[in-house]
Amino acid sequence: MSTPLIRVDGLTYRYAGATQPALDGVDLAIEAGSSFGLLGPNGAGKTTLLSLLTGLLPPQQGTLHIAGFDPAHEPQRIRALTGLVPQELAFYPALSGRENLKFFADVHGISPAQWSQRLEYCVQVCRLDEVLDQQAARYSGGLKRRLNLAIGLLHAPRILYLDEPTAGIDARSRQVIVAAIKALREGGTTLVYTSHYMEEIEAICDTIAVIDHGRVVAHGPTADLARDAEGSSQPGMGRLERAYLRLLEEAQG
Amino acid sequence: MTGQGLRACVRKETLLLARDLHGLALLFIMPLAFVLIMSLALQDQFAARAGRKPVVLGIDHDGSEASRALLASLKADAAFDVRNATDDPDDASLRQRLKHGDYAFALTVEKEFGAELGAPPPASRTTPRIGVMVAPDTGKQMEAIFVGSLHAALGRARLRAVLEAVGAPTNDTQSANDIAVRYAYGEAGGGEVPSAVQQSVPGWLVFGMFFVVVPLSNTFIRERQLGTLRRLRSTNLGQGTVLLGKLIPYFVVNQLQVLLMLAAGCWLVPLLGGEALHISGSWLALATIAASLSLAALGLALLIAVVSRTTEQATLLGGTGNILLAALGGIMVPKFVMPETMRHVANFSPMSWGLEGFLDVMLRGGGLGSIVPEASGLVALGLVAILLAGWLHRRHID
Repeated sequence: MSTPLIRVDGLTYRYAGATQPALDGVDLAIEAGSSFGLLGPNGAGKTTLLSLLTGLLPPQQGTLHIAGFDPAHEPQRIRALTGLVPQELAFYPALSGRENLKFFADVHGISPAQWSQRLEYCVQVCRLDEVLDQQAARYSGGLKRRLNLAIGLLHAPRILYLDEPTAGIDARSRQVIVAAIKALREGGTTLVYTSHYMEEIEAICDTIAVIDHGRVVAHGPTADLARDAEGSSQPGMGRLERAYLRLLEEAQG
Repeated sequence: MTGQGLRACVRKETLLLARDLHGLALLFIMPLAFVLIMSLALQDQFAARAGRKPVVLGIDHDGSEASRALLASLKADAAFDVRNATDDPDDASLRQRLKHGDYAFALTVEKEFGAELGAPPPASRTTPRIGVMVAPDTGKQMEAIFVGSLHAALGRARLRAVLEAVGAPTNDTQSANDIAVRYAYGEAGGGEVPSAVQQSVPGWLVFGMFFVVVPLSNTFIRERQLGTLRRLRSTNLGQGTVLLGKLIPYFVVNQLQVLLMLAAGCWLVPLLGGEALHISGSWLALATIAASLSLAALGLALLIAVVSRTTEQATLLGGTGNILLAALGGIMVPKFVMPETMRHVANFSPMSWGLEGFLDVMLRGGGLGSIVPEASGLVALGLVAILLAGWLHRRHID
């Protein structure tokens, strides 16, 4: 068995002043090139886990290795490998799409020679060509999400963390974003994906983990977890959604 | 810190500022408006304080030795600038000249003044031989001083006439050594007092420079709220580069403010009828005090941006803080009119350090050596504030 690209062992994190840890002894292994779905209710610890994986928070307890690097000692090497598409629309509304992409390209140290190539790729994948020179504040919600994704793709990261990248947008933009993410997966990018949309997770992720109250309550191939829900009947819900709800109920006793 | 990353941050911040019309108005239009309004509105007040004399138009219808001596006696008075009329204006024309603001008083000496001097007025005369017309903008206090001086000059003229009549010497009717004037206060007595434009340009420039707090904190807090700071932290761009990338464009903005306000003082204020600003000191000293002041303003702005949770908080804290520092620091009320205690209190405001530094150069002809105390204080304050802001920011994100 190959060494996982991301390995998390006994990871615990408690925010200052909090009575309960946000993460409590989390163990995970994510293979290179896989698409890993992170499920859980609001406040379960998903964003904290992404913050630790991206080096935004320092681990307090447990170990974390990404591509063999320890973020506590080699954060710069890890940052160079990873990209983050945060839940927030993390760009400058007063700048145009092109100006935002150029700024983040320079921040990532993309050379002028690479810039036009990366711009073309990101604009094409996220379908931003028609609005590229418009001020981002004027974009629709869906276009803003697409720009948010495009910025995360600029430096062609080996690992891409996507924190609810399709939250609150129309079907058309969701379709564009899901297609872009599938294209990345096919290109070999390792994806760590959080979403409340089960059909997206089922369509994109080959492995999932369910987190509740900072603990991993289930971890395995998506198809296996979805299969566990077969036989139960809750109208209007997909297989994975039924499995997810059952796992949460079991975890909460 | 990469050069490419820093350049990107500087360019981004410049674009954000260039598209923030309210921020630009606050940084450039507001201080410019204050400079123009205050330089023009207060020029007479500052001129009087600085020792400029009210102008008196002397009209001598008598043409006698006594009338000439009266006007000469008033001219010798240190309080007034008496100018002899070159024509004989009628009443309407005289009123017009006074309304126009050319003169504070018109003094008319009627015929027979000299002939009747030293003798009791004839019973047939019903109007005095001396007439005074007061300009609309001349205060009652000044009017009383002028009339008092006129009475004193008349008294001296009568005494001279009497002494001449009895054949006594007339050359010592007034001695400069009769009264000794001393000052119980410091610099306003012996030091230089700025003109309206010399006070307004540096004063409102200092005030405007500190207002970088509003646009700087707004972009910083919005970056935090939008998640762009979080996104930047997931890259290899150091937080030092992020902060430096914010400070550099605003430093340039501060220097542009200096150039604009100086240009307004030198060329725009005189075009509008005010006094021109003359910079008598060293340009290097001027640039040094401007850079030091900018460092202090940016440090405080960054600190407010870091400690404020919302843009409203930052605007309130920054705006109110600036107004208080300005009121205290001699921007709104010049230090030379403050009582001694308030002058000491004013020294705690960094705006006062900046203003004094500019006045050292513009008014007192100072060089680099003269601004060292103010510049060092401002640089120290700026560095402490930037280090504290950096430490708090680091603590906040960790």
